[in-house]
Amino acid sequence: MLGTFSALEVSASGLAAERIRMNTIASNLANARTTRTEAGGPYKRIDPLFESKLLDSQGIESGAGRAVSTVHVARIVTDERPGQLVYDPGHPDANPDGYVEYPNVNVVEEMVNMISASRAYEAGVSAIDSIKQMASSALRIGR
Amino acid sequence: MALGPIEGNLTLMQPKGTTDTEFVSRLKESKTEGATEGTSFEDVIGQAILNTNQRVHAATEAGQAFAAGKTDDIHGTMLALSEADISLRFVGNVKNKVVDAFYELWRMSI
Amino acid sequence: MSNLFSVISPLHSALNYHLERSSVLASNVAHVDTPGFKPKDLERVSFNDSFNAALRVTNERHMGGAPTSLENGRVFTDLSAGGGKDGNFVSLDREAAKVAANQMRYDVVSAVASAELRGLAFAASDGRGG
Repeated sequence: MLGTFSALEVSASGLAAERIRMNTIASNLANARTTRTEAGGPYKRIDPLFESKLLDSQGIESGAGRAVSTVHVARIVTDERPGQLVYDPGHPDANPDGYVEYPNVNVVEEMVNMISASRAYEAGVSAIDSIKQMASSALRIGR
Repeated sequence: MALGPIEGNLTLMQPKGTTDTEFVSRLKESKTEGATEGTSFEDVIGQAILNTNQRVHAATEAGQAFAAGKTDDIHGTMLALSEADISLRFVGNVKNKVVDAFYELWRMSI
Repeated sequence: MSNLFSVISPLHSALNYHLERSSVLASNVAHVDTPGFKPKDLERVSFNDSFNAALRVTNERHMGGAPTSLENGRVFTDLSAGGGKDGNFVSLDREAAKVAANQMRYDVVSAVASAELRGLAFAASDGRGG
């Protein structure tokens, strides 16, 4: 039967995934104005790609085994959309036409994503809290 | 004060509706001579036993109903369980005191 | 003596159901950002339902399975919160409410089981406490 510890494992995977998402957001915000990268060209924003994986426990005879899965970051996806072009011929990274391509980072969008990731993280923490409380109350049976 | 005989089947785990009412009526019938009329000890304790049994069954049913998701009444369920528990202890203590008193009398007569 | 603890069985089943549901809900919360994810939930099955499910056979010559693989609940998909652009149907608020309700019910059933066992313990000690 899926019990306390599988529930904790699932919640922990959610926290880890959201933390990776926070890191990508932090990277995007920090590089919002980076016009030159090692690969050449401006910084392109990154996103984690989440996928679900069925919980690999021996107790999957019960029907709920099909309904419970951990979340993993499949890979980090680079957003290849073009960034904003600004006319600035004096800039060292200007192209032959005099335009500088800035990263495709929208600061407002990143802030919204950050709030959303933060909320998801808190929800995961309170799910873990709830699971711990249930185990505590089971310990009190018969006391 | 006249006491009816302490029946050997005064257990606290009587199944539903079997011998409780029989026990109370037997208590009433076994009044010794010279017993006073009105509310006697048998009446009081007989009623208490019946009440306790009812409370215990009501509490069990309340617990089962909550576990089956048929009710949302948390405090009602918990109160019913508490009341049954206390009721049980009360009757149990009365029985203990009566049994102890009997044994004291028993030792005295020898 | 055999039916001394008969009141405890349904309580035990209820606790199993709520614990399993907590795993399902934790999984929904963890997948709030997974594209295309649809949240699941667990609904209660009566003892008869799960008993019959375990014993169903497809060929009259096969023997029914023993009711040891009883399910603790029936899985269903809950799309009532509505979907986002990425096909994800998880609403954190709805899941948080479900988690809270599930935990409260677990706590109450656990307290009910405790109370029943306390009563039995009292009776077992001949009504002299402890």
